[in-house]
Amino acid sequence: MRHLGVIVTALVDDQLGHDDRDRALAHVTRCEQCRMAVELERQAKAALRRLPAARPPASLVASLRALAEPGDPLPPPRRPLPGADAGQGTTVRDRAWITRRPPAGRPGPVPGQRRPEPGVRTRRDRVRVVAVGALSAGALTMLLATLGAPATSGSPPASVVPPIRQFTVEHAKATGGLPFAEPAAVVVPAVAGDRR
Amino acid sequence: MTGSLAPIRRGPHILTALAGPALAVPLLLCSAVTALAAPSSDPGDDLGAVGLLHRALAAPELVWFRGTQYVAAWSPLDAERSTSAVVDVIHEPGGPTRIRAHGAQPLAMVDERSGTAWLAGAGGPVGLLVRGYDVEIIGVSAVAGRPANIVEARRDDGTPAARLWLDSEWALPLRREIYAEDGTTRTASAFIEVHIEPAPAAVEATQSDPEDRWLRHDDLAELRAGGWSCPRRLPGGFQLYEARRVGDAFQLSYSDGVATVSVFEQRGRLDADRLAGFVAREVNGGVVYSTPGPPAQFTWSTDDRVVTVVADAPAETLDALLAELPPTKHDDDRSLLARIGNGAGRVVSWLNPFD
Repeated sequence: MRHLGVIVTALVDDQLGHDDRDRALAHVTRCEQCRMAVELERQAKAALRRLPAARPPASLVASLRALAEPGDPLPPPRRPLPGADAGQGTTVRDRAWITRRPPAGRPGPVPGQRRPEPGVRTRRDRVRVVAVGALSAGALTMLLATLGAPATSGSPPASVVPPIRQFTVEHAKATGGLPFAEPAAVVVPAVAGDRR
Repeated sequence: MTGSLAPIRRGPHILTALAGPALAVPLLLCSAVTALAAPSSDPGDDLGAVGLLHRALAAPELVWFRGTQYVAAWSPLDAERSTSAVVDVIHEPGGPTRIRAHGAQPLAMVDERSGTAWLAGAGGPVGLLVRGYDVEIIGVSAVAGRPANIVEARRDDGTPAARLWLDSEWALPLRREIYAEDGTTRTASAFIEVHIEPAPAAVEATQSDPEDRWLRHDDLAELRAGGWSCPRRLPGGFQLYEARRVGDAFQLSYSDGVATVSVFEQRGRLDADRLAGFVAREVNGGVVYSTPGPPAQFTWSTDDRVVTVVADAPAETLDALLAELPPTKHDDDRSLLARIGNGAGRVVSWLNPFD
């Protein structure tokens, strides 16, 4: 004969179906061992009901309540979850307004403390998005400018300001051997200044 | 440059009177023979004028002279702009010609007469002139009380390009005038007073310009192989007649015998923000900075070099020069936008599997 075993608890909690319950009770009438097990289970259950009610700490209650607080919308998914009910058309995007829990280590609001307005948090996120975008665009610009720099075999050419006066004097010297050139006509006005 | 004029050294008058002509005669004969033998004249040239021009080039080796001279020049780019000055001139035989503004002003310059036109080819400086112009003696006149022969250089169309008044005794240039094609004067100079004395002894011309600054044909060939332009000639009949090092730059001097152009090339990139008095204008897609002068001055960047031009040549010659050595185009500039565009092009080329 097989004993009831783990079914004893279900029989005591009245969780068995009609047929299973009849067969279990029939077995209890014939088996003293199982009848004693059922009796012990019922006595234990009655003893627990007689215990005084315990009060949990306030902080524990607050933390537990925070788990149920509404949070920011979840990021929209790219595609519906597998197995989503096509007939209802429910996707994660549709559940975007489902509340989420605060991240670990981030306490929720305690009673009497005001939570930030949802609009403030949205503006902050926009600023973050704009800042990240600007930095990314700057980095991309620098990268393209670096890639687009002209190829040079050595160092870039030095910045030069030609010594115009010296060059003018050298030009006058070079004309000294030509019969029609007059060096003074070149160099004197250039150095002495001009007038209309 | 120096701040003072050296006094003329005077030898004993008797020795000067005897030794000067005695030494001058062989030199003048050599000059005349050179003039006749050199292939520097064509059928349109007056051989007497060619001989006078050769004597004019040799005259600074034979005589002392000093005097007061006026000089005037007009801009080749703007006929309304002109400059003029009165200068004191002192010359020692075979040595430099010292020039300073008239009066007690500290400004002084030295015409070192270093130009020997070693790249000019046959006939030297006179060859440059007679290859581009017809020369002729057109008359006699007087300058500062001294008789002078007038030599004229004419263009192919017969218009005068220049006139030179040469001292009748020594062929020393006493007055010069250069004309534009429309007949207006471009430069003019003349002695108001002048004292000429023969040198007491033959003086070989000295070069204050050290020869290690000179660039010869093989040096220029090496520079061209290294990426420098160094054109042999410029449009308008301008031939390279001298080239030398000037600091970190190379100077190339061109002439058609009358007008002159000096082109300076140096490595680097033009810093236009530090140019004073220059006006930017767009030429052939790039930017050229210029002052009208005279003398006209231009500077621009081309590739990794800076080109500077000092010239008393006509505007057409300067335009042709810019076509020969064009400025860096805007598209080739290293601006940020150009770099970004080039960078984007490179990235696209990497991603293009068919590239």
